[in-house]
Amino acid sequence: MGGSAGLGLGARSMSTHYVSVQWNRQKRLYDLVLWAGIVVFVAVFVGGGFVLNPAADETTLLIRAFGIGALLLLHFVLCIGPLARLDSRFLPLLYNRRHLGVSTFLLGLVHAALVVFQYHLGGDRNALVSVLTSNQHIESISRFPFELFGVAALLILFVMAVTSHDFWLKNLTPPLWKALHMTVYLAFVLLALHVSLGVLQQEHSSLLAGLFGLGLAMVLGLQLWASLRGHGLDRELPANAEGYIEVGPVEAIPDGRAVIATIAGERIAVFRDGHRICVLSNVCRHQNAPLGEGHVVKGLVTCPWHGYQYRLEDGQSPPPFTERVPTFRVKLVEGKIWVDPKPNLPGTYSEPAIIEDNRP
Amino acid sequence: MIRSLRQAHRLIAAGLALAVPLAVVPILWLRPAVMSLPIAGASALPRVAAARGLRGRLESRADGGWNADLASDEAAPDLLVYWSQKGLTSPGANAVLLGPLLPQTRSYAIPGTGGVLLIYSVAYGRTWAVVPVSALAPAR
Repeated sequence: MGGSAGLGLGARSMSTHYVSVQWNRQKRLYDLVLWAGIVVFVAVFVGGGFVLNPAADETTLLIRAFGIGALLLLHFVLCIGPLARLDSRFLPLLYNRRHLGVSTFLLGLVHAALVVFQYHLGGDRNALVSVLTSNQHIESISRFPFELFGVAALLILFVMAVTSHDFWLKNLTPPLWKALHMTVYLAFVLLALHVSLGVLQQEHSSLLAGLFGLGLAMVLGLQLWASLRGHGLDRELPANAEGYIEVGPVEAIPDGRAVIATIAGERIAVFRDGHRICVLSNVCRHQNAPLGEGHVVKGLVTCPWHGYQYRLEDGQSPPPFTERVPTFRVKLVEGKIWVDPKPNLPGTYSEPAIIEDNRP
Repeated sequence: MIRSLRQAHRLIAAGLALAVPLAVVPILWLRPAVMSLPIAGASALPRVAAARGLRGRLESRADGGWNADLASDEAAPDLLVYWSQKGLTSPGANAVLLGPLLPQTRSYAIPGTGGVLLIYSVAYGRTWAVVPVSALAPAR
């Protein structure tokens, strides 16, 4: 089971036994590249800051380096999802996206700690009380207490970071976990306000404001584009007199791939594996990823996000794994694929439809 | 994602695409081009200091020296006032720290004659304004 082996789960079940983080070579390499990039970024930022302004304060440069690093990383994290939906070549970036998210929180945390150290630690008030109360100019845009937006965003990123582990994914269930992690969009808005009401009120460079606006436009544009593009797939297809639904001609499905359609309120994935046509729920049990965007490898569909695998004919992960997805009855009539919209129980065998002449 | 979350995500994406520009563009548009407010006696100050909301005048002391009464409408939280007789443009070994620059008027005892007042931002690590003492109008 290549995909699951890639996850490093070994001989354990994906669902019956919880196992802690499984590090593997890909994850180590991913994290190594990520943190090497972060170190280089901070070093270049601070070094460049001293070159451009030899009198600059090193703590201030570090505050900015970590703050900008966290903001850039959050932009990157939020672009991966829509990019992967728009172009499958970006799918590998999804594999370890949670590590990027946790790194974003850690950079933000260092940024906040340095701010407390620099501006709030030497006073007669508790430093955290000082952060929350020292700026009360809510009547002014240029003096607005932008710190509060940063604190709120950091709290959201903290909750996301501590629940990013598969332990929480499994125990909260994927839909709830995904809903919780959609608060990242709120964190993004809060950070946009934190930056625009904070540093950009004091740094008057049009270039900085322009780059900031460009970053916002890129994230929001990609998110909107990807969500609108997938909107058409959610239109329900009509059923015939027998209750079956036509999802299209056999020729529309490349060998080893699937087409996605919506029936009975949820998406299904119609796979072609040589001369076989099989239909599974499009929702992976791990993170509810779109199985229909995955490949068929030796009769197993491999989830494009994290490599979970399912047999085409019964939606069952091969032993020793125990994940199951619902299957659907399917038949071919004159080269057209018809699907019964009533799902079988997860893991139920469903006879594949056979392409008689195995047309390409 | 399951359908309900996809629909929620679609609404969020559309909402953000509308709300974020509506919030951020005015915030950036309305920011002061240079951090400034009009100042009293601006004509006597170098243009850059005047544009940055600095108010100032000289007050004679009983010992024959001068106090510089300064105030700033500036938002920067960490501006410090230095005096340098040698006309430095950034604080160095020969610059004397007089104190923090505040929104309300404060007197700074100038330790010598002539020279310049340096307004320096610690956070930004750069000189914010240089005001020759001679540019400050004596109080009447």
